[in-house]
Amino acid sequence: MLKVEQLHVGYGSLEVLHGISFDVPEGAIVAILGSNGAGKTTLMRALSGLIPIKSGKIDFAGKAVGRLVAEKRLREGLALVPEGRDLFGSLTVRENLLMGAYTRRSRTEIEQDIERILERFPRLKTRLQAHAASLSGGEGQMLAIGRALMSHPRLLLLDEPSHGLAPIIVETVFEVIEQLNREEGLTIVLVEQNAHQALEVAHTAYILQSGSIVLNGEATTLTANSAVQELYMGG
Amino acid sequence: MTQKPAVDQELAPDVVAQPELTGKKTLGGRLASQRVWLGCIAGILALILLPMLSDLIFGGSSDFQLHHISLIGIFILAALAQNILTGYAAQPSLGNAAFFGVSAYVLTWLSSDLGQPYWIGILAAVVVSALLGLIVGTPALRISGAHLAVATLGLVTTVGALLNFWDTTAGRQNYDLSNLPDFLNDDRTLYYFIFAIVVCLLFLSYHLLHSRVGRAWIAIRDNETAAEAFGINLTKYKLQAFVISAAMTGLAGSLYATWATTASSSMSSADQTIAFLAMIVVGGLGSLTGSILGAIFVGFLPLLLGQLPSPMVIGSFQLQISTLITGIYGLLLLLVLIFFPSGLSSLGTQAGNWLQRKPSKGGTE
Repeated sequence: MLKVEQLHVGYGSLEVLHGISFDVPEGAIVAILGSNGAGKTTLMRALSGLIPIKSGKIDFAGKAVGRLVAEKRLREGLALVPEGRDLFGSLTVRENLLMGAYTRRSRTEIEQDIERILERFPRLKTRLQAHAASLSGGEGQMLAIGRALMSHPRLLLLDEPSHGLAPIIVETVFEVIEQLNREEGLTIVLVEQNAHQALEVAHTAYILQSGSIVLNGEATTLTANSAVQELYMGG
Repeated sequence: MTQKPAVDQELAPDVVAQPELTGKKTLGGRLASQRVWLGCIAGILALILLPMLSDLIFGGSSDFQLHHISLIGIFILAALAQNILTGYAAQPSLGNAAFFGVSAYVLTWLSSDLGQPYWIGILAAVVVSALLGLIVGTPALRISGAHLAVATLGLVTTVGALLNFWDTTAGRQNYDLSNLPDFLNDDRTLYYFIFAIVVCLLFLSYHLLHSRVGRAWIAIRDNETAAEAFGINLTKYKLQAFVISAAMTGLAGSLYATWATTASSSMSSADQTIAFLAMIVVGGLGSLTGSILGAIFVGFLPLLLGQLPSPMVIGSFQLQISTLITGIYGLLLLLVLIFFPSGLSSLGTQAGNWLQRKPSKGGTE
């Protein structure tokens, strides 16, 4: 569904991603693991169109989207849950959800989707009129995911969903990710530092190191890999 | 109603005591909107009754006071315009004073020199301001932060100088606005006229800010990257804010010319810019109430200072109070920023929090 080939991305003269290639089959959860500064967020921004790519190809659902602006990619069904959630803090939870549907027009459909998302995240229902800035980390992550779902994505890009969350909440977030994939058939690409959690839900994974992919394979294989264990899972 | 802060507490540490905030039309929501409506009605009643009250308090010679209260209405419009641009759409543009000045000159030129009807003059002033807003906003989108502030301040002084140049070459001391409709020469009807416009624009702004457009501005302000990721066209919405703000300032400027029955190049000056900025910072960025409170505060201050004898003699010093007004604006900015970092509009919330905190403190002791 998503095919990335020889992707080079950078800021000015500084190149961050040095020719990355990977494949995301429809219905899969693909994890891209890497430590701080490996280029994870840069990759997510390049995929969602927030920064331009230098060279390479991004094909989504058979269409070259690598040169499209963020809005067009969103309309194609490529939605981002940004790192650190990036909520609209002074808007309410409900308004944040509405912002996720900004490219859509049908009022009734949008209201139905809000209902659907609140069913999935009952916690948000009790906080509907609260300002997003007042949410706890876990609620915020649910809202960030809910907001992305409001755009009717076919593929969800998750930038470090575990970022800044307590371990118990991280588990809940990953359960949600797994559910979205299993119940709604949503294809998911997630970049993570928390390799342990990510490999538990992912089908396949890629290891990103200093802007290059150094290893890839089935999640179970990588979990067993001693080098991966040592580097990303604390031995 | 008992709350059970059990397993879910980590997910929602502060959800307790907000059980009513569930649906769209909740009890809390209804009470809040009822309060807003009551406030609006009380405010409008007060505005209608004010002239009669001031008659009672100051006797028949109260027109001077009422005349100054009308000025506050004009400043409310200007503050609202600046707040939409800076407080909501997050553009630190200092260029609004230029539209304030230009619109006054457009109105005066059409009305006094060309003998056009007053209403045509107002309309033209607003349209010219909006167009200027578009012209200024387009390049301004490519610069941000301090650069935008300084560049637009440059625009204000340039426009001020051009207007002054026009005055000089036309050989006039004052550019007086004649040809006004009769009812605008009367302080009381002028007051009602200005505040009718203010109420209408507050109403329109409230709805604009709670619409798709307003939400887009706030989203851009809160998080530009996320806003872009969700398909908000940054250029379009920022430009819209520039144009709407300029048009509104143009209306304020032409009303100011009506109020003062003259257009002056000092309307497009750094002092005027500081006054607009002071209003929204003192009142509260991104708040309608803040625009009103700020305009009252900054609008009333010169009035109060005007009551002081000038020059004031302290010992052997002679203090020229009128030259200090801008300095006092600056000082106020400083003090409010220290004590009320989010402006006077936060006073209500702060007082509420304080009242709520008190009993719970007593409980733990």
